[in-house]
Amino acid sequence: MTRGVLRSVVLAAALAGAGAASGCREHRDALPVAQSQAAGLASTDEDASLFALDLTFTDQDGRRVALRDLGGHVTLAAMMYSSCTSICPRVVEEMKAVERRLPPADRSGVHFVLFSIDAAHDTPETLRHFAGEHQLDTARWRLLVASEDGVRDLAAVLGLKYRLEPSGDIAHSAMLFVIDRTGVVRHRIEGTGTDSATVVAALERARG
Amino acid sequence: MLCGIIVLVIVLHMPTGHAATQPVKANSAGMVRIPAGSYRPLYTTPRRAGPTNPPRSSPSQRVVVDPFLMDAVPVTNSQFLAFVRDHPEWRRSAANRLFVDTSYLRQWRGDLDPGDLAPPASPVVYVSWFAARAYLKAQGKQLPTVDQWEYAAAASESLADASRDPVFLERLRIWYGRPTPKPLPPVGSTSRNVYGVRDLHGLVWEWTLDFNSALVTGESRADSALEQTLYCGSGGVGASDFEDYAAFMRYAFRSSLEARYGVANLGFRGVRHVEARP
Repeated sequence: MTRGVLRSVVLAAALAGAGAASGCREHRDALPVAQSQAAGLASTDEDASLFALDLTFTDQDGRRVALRDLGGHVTLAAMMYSSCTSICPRVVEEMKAVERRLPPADRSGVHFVLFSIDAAHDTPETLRHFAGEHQLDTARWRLLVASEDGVRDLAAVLGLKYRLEPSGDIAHSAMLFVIDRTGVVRHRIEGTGTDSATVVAALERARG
Repeated sequence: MLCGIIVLVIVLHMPTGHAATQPVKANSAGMVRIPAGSYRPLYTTPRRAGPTNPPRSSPSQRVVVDPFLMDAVPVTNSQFLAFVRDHPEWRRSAANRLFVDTSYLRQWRGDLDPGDLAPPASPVVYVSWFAARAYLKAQGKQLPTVDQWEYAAAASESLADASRDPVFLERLRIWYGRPTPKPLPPVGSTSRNVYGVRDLHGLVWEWTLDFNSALVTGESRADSALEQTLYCGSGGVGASDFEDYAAFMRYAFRSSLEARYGVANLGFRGVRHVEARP
């Protein structure tokens, strides 16, 4: 699916939701902004590299890693946080299922990256613990945390929605990202439950 | 299929600010002080359903907004022009496509020539979230959070909290129904609120720092199975105050944005942190 399609669906859903909830459907026409948003549908720039974002992380071993250091490999990435007990473990399990499904010859060519969205609490220690708990092979998996501002920028370029809750939870959308060796996001997979074969195919395509 | 996945989930705050109603003059940086206050959000935060965590709504919490400085008016074309002169990487022809879409500064005639459709004193629009952030960073400012913006924007000319004032709300509704004039009128042309801030309503919509915090699901139900496949933590909230149609529309609009979008009537303004007065 292209980003343009996604965009229009988001727009449509926003309009539909707003119209229904307000109980005033005629007000749908009263949306100068959202309508001009629709005009932006034609503008797609699918080939912008994430590496333009000057971001530095700390990994699970306390090493400094720049976003552009992820170049040279196809990456399957997600945003999560290590104290998350609901969907993050499920996302990670799905990524592991993809890892298992990759033909052995391809496995070394794909990297698995978990970006933390919990800049306030995640540290190399919490990330290492998470990796251990989930038996992640850190030869292929990297767990990375940036500053709060860095997390904000990364979520923005990836199109991830999230909200820090007063409880300390972080509500966020579950998404997998297939990033090619030049840093271009080739696929965004929303939600959990996607067949790992589909993701494997997306990774293969991204290898080009 | 995606329709099932995406629906906005709206957070409606009901401002109940104890804000002083003393108007404050803009300082030399063109900013006015917004006093501390708090929101009592009308929304409830649903919890994820689970064996030990049945679907429920937590009682509404007060959200405190610390005092801050806010630009009295949105950023203008002439101000943004000065910025792109100093920062060539943010000129229309040079800006990285990761940070802007192809609509970036579309209404300008050229890289350094806003032209007739973008008068100097009118708000700059077709700027992405990234471009707005870069501009403000250069000024030592940042984008307001949704809380800060909504809190400040709940004020009318005479009330710190006009979010239940039918006259105020009706005026917003009328503006929301009007097409965007071309070119946009100059900043400062709409009424000034009780704090001395202008144009929060009636001129352009504005970027917020955490515009992407309005989570969306197929069903804004805490117990939706679908939601649990999409979100971590509490996926969304149930809005209950549909009287404030304008606020609802703002949330809907924000949830439809991505950080690189430019929109014909989406501008921005800055805020700055201040220490609370004793």
